[in-house]
Amino acid sequence: MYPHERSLVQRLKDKPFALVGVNSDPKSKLKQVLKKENMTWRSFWDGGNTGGPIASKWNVLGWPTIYVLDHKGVIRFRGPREKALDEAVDSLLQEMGRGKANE
Amino acid sequence: MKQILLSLLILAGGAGWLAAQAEDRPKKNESTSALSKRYEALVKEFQTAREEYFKASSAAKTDAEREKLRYPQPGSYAKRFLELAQEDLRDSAALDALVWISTNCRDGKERETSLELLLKHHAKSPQMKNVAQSLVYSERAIAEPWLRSLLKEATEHEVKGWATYALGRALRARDRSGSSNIPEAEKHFEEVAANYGDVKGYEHTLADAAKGELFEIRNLAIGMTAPDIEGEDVAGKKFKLSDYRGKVVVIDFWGDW
Repeated sequence: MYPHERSLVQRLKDKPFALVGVNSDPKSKLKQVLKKENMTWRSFWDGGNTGGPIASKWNVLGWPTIYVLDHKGVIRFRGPREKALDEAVDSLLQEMGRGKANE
Repeated sequence: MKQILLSLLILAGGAGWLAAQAEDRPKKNESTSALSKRYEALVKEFQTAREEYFKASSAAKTDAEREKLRYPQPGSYAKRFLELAQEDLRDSAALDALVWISTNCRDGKERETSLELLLKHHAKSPQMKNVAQSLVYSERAIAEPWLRSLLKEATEHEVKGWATYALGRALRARDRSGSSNIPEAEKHFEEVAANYGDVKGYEHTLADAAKGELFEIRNLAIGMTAPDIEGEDVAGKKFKLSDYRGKVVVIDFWGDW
């Protein structure tokens, strides 16, 4: 997962795109992982365990759980991984580009 | 516990990590009947095989050595557990054996037979809670009718709570494959949210788990505007999901396990 996320973030670094994590690890472990895996994107720290307030509210029962939102904040995809995730993000960026061209 | 569960799921070919199952195993039988002794021996045989596997796996020096090891799948023990149960279906050891199959095997002929036999002979047992729990993640067609039948028979509070919650989940799972029954799922989750705040769920109470389902149905479906998230990063710095409005956003709930 990490290498794929790194390449996604790297590939889209000049696009209107953001990867936002919600992390369920204890803080000390999260700090180590962020450094070791060279994660440049931001994560909410969700209290150090899988019963954290954000994951509980969003009814997350399995990890990782992924949502993809368009630029208006609308949920457009749930759960895509790897290639499907790339395609989902690319399609929304294209849609956004087309919208701009029509304005 | 989480580490072990993770390893098991990977070995079983499970995708992703499922929330920790509540830790109730079928209770040890106090009876000293011959059948229950044989049941205990069979459980022990399985556990020993599993321990041996993990021992050999961590002792293996190369991947090639490790690949030669065979994980003792619960399914390969199911037939023996079922034969044991069928010797005297009303015996408490039969109940234990059928619950073992239903909660340890993800699928297979023996699992379906066990589920049927449990309904027929042990629907009022408190152990049906574990079986209802094991169906929460099942997307198999058998879950929905089975839970409906259980709910007609069950008398135990915890069993009814878990069966109602699992039925809601089964209705949602069916919904993903096409036929719409979200309104009925919501009805079941509302009942659990109202009446089962005293039953332990995965992380919090069963009522909380049902409230999570209701929140997901009502706020997190495709086409809905995502609810805002406000929180702190690892350095304690506050930020919001809505800070990223105007960008395509991937939200990734993750953990390093």
